[in-house]
Amino acid sequence: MVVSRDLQHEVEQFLFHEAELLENRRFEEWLELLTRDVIYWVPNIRDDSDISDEAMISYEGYDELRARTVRLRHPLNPTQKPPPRTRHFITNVSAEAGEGGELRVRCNLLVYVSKDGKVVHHPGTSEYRLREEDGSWRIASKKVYLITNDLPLTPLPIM
Amino acid sequence: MTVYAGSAYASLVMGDQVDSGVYTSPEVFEQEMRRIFGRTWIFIGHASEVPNPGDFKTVQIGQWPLLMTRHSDGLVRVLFNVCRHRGSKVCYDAFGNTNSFMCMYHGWTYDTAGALNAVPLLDHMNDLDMSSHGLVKVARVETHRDFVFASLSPEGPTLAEHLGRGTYYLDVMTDRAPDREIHATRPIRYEYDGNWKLQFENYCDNYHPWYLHNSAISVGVQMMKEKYGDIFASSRRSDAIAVERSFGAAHSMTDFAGTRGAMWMDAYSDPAFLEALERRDGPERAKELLDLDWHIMIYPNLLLHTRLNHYRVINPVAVDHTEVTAYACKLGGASDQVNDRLVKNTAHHVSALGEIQVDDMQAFNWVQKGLTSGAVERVNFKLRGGNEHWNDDGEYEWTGASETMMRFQYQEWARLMSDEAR
Repeated sequence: MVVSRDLQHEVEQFLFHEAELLENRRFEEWLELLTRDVIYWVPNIRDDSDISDEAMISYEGYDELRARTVRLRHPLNPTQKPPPRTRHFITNVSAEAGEGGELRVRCNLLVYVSKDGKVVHHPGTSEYRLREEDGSWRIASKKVYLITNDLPLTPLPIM
Repeated sequence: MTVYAGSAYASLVMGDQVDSGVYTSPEVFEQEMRRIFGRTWIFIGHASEVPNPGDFKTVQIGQWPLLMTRHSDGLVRVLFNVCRHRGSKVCYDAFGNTNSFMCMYHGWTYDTAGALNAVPLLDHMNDLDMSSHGLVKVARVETHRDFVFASLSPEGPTLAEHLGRGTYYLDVMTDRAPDREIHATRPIRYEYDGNWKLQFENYCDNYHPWYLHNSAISVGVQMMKEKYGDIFASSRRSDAIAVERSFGAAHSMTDFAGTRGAMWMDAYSDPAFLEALERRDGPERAKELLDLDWHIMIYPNLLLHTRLNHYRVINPVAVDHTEVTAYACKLGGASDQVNDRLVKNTAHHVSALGEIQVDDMQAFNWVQKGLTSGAVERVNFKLRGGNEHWNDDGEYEWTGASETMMRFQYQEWARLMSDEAR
């Protein structure tokens, strides 16, 4: 079921806001977009990865993501010397009603990462479950399929 | 570019220092591919990556495009993924299952043992002997406990001779599974702009973690304290000290012996896992196997981790570029709870979005740039461990972080790189 034009707009603005927080290293504010039971999942190799028998590039809950944001601020984190600069491009947004009042959102993304004199880019598709909490949309799950996920990768920023 | 003649390569190793050219010279790299990767036993894969007849994986080791298959006879083979007609490839996927490999250029078709069994327009060929035009087999393939190794050289030490004491460590890695089998999952891959030896040495290097991984360790310990209380301190034996050993042809291992506390032990919180080992081996040995925290390094391209239960394969691409493939493994006979956590913990540790290996990749890039500048002529491996001695198993053993393993590796490197080496 396609959502209303207003809701479509709201979802797009939400995704753009998330991208802006990540690009600008406002990681603590990004954490606030997540539900406490969030699942952040970047599958490995195949798009139809079955969690029960596949490895993954990342599969994290809230605590692990919070630890990640603390590490990103740590003065002795070598991967942040200097921090990578990123841009997150979001397109092809579609939203539909999910279970229990949640929204199922799908978009394409293209993340550019500039680090150590090299620029790499990662095109992919994101699938979200958004849940309304305290009058705002929150990310209950985010699954990022990178088309580069079968290649040898260099360190990735939060996608 | 410096040109080294013949046995001059050995002179690049000067005891506890090596010439930085071993990391930066394209000529040295080319000769390493010939004299080390092209001659010794290289690790290809674990048989569980191709569990069923018809399963295959393609793998690039150095310049060699290889194909590991399991044929209908149940045997694992290592073949070149190169058509005997004109040299195109016959298998196009990273992994899968098939009855045959058909070259898409002219349709020559091979079975999963490599035999050529179909050639279009065969009647019009000048005396083509199909039986001698199968896919080229790697000269030697041997397996130890499902770890499949190949040698491109028809002559040389057997795999058992090459591994030496390494067979024991591969046995224990495998026997930690209650049913004595480990099962590889689909790989996680990363790459860096640095020499292949940087990864091998880094895995042996217990000097760097507190510095390079300071952020990951300190944040990790802080998070565990918040979640579980001070389990790290209480589970870490105050008298514990890591033991390092070198054995055989430049192989080595670290026994962390309790020094890493409860790190990654969440995977084993299902009591059924320990109970299964206890039923099999008795309580004492079961506890030892549960707690086992080893790094195992099989020269030149295999690294294993007992606690995270994964192995990694180093693939040298160029003198300054390396790809690494990590395979999280499941423990046969352990619950899904245990295995799911093992697989996630490996990802969390080694992937491009992980928390540890990304630090190392950054350091490799820095080192390669620094050494390529030529500013530093010699790289230092001077750190010694405590109480260095030969143990009863014929290994050289000591306590605490050192660079002794690297000194052993360069002795073997110099031997292999000199003309006389076999």
